[in-house]
Order: sequence, then C-alpha cells, then structure tokens
Amino acid sequence: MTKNSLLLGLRRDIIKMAAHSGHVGVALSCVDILAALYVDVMACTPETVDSPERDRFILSKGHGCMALYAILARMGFIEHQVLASYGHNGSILAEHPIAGKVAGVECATGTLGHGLAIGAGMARGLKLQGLGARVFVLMGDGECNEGSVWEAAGLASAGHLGNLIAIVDANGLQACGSCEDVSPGTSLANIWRGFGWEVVEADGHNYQELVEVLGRPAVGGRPRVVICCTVKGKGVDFMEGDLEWHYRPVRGDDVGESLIRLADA
Amino acid sequence: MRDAFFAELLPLFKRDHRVVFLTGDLGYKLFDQLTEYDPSRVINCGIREAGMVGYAAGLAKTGLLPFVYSIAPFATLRCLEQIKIDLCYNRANVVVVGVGGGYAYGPNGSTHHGVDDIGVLSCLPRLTVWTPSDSHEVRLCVRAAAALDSPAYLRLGRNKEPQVFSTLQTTPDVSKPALVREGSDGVLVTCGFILHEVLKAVDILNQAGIHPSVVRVTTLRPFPEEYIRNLCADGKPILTVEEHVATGGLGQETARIIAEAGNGNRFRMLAIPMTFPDACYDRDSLLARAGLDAGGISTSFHQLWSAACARQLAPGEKGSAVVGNSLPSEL
Repeated sequence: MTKNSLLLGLRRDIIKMAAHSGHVGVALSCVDILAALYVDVMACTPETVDSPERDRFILSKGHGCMALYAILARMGFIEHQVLASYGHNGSILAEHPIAGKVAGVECATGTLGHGLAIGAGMARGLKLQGLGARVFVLMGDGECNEGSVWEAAGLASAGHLGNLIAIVDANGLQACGSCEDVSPGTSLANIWRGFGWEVVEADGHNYQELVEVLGRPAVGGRPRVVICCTVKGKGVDFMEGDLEWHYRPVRGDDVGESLIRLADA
Repeated sequence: MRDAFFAELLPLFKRDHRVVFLTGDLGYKLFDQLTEYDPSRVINCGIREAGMVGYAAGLAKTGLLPFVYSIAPFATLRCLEQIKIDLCYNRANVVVVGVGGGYAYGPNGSTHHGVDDIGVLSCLPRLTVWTPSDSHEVRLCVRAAAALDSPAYLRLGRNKEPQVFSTLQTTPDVSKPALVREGSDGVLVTCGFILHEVLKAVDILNQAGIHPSVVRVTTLRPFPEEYIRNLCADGKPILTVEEHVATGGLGQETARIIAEAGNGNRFRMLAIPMTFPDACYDRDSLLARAGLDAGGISTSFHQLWSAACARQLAPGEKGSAVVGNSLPSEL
C-alpha cells in the first residue's frame, strides 16, 4: 500500500466514524502525524503492545481519537470492523479513549493537559529501569493553554528526558476561535525553548518530514517538541480551516461529498 | 506521624526498588536518607502538584511504585483531576501522601488546612483512603501501601500527635475498623488522629459514669459498610467524630447506614463547620471552637446519651428510670 493510499484510507475511516460525533476536523489535522509515528517511527506493534521495551504513544488531545482508532485498526491493534461501532452504546471506541479497553491506547485521555506529565513520567520510569524505549505525546495548540502542560514541560526538562518527544498539532484553531485570538502574540516555539526543550517546526502534513523529525535521536539528552503546522479538517476542502467541523458530525449528503473531495485532493 | 512515615518509607525504599519518592518541594531534610541511598528514585518535582501526580502516574505505568508527598490540600484539591483521571481512571498504582490533614497546620490558615480532602476524594472510584491515628498506624499504612495494587491517599498529621497505641505489635489491623475502648453505653466512631481527643473525652465521660465504646476507622475508603451496619444493629446511640467537614466524611456515611438500617439509633455527627476561621488559631483552639476538643466531644456525647435514655423511659416515669449504666449526671 502506498503512503497516499494509506493516508486516504485513514481519512475515509475517520469520515465514516464521524457520523456519530463531532471532532472530525481535529482528527483530520493530526492523522498524518499518527500515520508517520505508527508506520515508520515507533517500535510498537500488536505483537509488542505489552512489552516493556515498546515505544509508547499518548494522545493527549483525546478528542482526536478517531485518527488514533483508524491507525490502530490499520496496524492491526484492533479489528477494522470495530471502527463501525465508534460512538455506539457498548462500544470500546468512545468519543474519548477509555482506559484499558483498546489495545494500543496507553491511557485514557480527554481532559486536556494531562498527557504530557504522564508521558514524562513514563519516560522517566523507562530511563530508571534502563529501558531504551521512547514516549511520544500528541497535544493540540489550544491544549497548550493548560498550565499543567508547562508543569510537565519543566519536569521533563529537569529530568533530561531525551526519550520524550512532544508533538503539537498546531492547526491554529481551538474550540471557540483562533489560538491567536485567545493568546495574542504567543510564540509556542519560544516558550518551549525557554523550558530547555529542543524545538523543531515541521509541516504536519508532510509525511517524510514527519518521519525524519520525529524519529531522529535526541540532542544533548533534551526532550524534543515538534510543532507541526497543520490544517484543521485537512483533506476535505470544505472542512479545512472551518471551526464548524470541530463540532459538526458528518451525516447525510456530507458523507458522500467528503469522500469525493478526499479522493480528489 | 510525619517522621514515622519517613522512618517506615526508608526500609521499604531500600528493599523495594519500585519505590520512587516525589515531593512537591516540601519536606526539607526529611528525605535526605532516601537521597543518600538512591538519588535517582528521589524527585523534587518543584511546586507543580498537578504535574507531579501526572508524572507519578507515568512512572507507575512503567511498573514503579511512586509516593507523592505534599501538604494535604496541595496534594489533593490542587491536583484533584490528576488524581481522578491519571490515577483512578487509568489505574495507576500511586500513593498520595498528604501531610497536615485536618487542622494540623492551624496557624498557617485555611490555605493549609486539610479539612475537605477526604470529602472530595471520596467521590473518586478505586481510591483507597487511609486516616491513621498515630505513628504506629502510619507505619502499618505504609506497609499496606507497598502491597496495594491501586491508587491510595494517606492522610498524615504533622509530628505532634500523641501516641494512641503503645507498640507497633499491639496496634490493630488498619485494614478494618477496631474497637479501641470497650463500653456498654453507646459508641463513638472516629477516624484519624483526633482519636486521641476522643479517648480523652471518654475519660471525662467515664468520670460521669458513662462508659461508651470507641471504634476507630483507619481505612475510610472503601467504607466499612458491613462493620458499621453491624455496629448499629442493636439501636445503640452513636456519635461520629472527625477532623473534617461533614460533607463526604465518616459521619455522613454512618448516618446513611443508620437511616437505611432503621434500627432507631440516636445519632449525632461532630465535624468541622463549613466556615473559614475568622482569625489565626492553633489546632487546639480550632478544635475547641468546633466542639471537637475532648470537652466538646464529651458534652455532645453526654447530651446524646441523655436523650437516648430519656427516650427509653416509660410514660409517667420521666426522670426516674435508669437505663444502661446510669443516667448521667451533669459534667
């Protein structure tokens, strides 16, 4: 399967799941990042999902979980047909990941600002036990409003956690407006740099670039943040950059139209 | 209690290499011996309680056993959502240690009082809550923590609390309620280091000819439902005493069980009032103002006992019958 057909398939899966919830734009903005991680960066497979040596991934922006479910299904962590149960009563696939139910979901998330501290603790625990595994944590740029993100950033820096890689899905939009309106003039890169992190900026939809910047070794034992410039709703032109698709389920004619636009993109 | 915690943690830390000690920049000099033994497992997280609890959750997820330490309100309310989601929901085996529960930090003021920690934590599934009453019980709780496979909260006092139990060997099992004073005239149920005041109150009551039992509850969550249900089965008067507001505490749980059982127990709940103290007071003064010192507790029980006795008098005999040991005289 080519990378393009993989990414198209993931986006099609997301569109179909999104009949049952909002957050389609959120999932579409981070799906290339997740694909790069699971296919070409992380050492974690369905066979090693319980191994202490595995790389870990935490979706701190838990509301983007349709993208996570889609890649977990493609990689064989869960059965592909389970995706059809997303959002249904009794399904293991909730609108934010449930604790301990889905193979490959390291921890439940959904309330923002929690994932980085947990990931940092995992990275510290792995180092303490002499394990070479890495921890990847994906956050939103809106999520970086949370003070707890910066508590974790300081802890990771103090712990010299070169095995921790934070990723910011910087699509520039948060729930009620643009990140710029909420935090005018804020440079996330400068803030992360100020906390002693290695800062890399990347195109969050350039697969090869993502693989390179996410997978490269740590510099000077410092934790790395990759700030990914992304587009909310990426791949479906009428969703791109439109905050309405933070909330609106994909139903009726929107489903077919979205799939056509994806194929044309 | 604080010193007992560190004294018990040290051998555990040496023996069990899963143990990691995290502090929210508190406990100056108290963990030096841990650091001397293995600095890699001692982490000063700085004044970042939310980050510290999340960090501990991550450590636990790799198989380690973190103890996080701060002053009770900072270790609980400040990072409540991290305790709920990162520890309880995600099943992270972390022990949260709150020093200075209740009014232990008296003159430091309401910012430092841990009078609502149990109530808020009691809303969280899967969390064990320990309220030891003296340093021996602290040691037993630390041992229980090492064997527990779920998150827990350990509520300490400071260092001034009197000893209740004379030796570690004679200290009752902390996993279940214990009868620490046997009597025939109703029962006082309590938790935590206010047990000492309760026992002093019982001494006062004894002098007045009233001989209640005393039950102490150390493992408060999960709540010992069956024990309390059995305790109230014969309809005896029950007074609960806690260094905590009523909401979510020992008294409310006991009241619920009494109401559900329908045995007609006379009941009263002593707890910290829902107000912020209006000025600076030490713990003893705060307890006295709340009616939670030995005098206040004995008076409350005396009133309860008198009411219970009056209720059992036959019509026309008011004031003349004797129920139980004796009708109490004025204190």
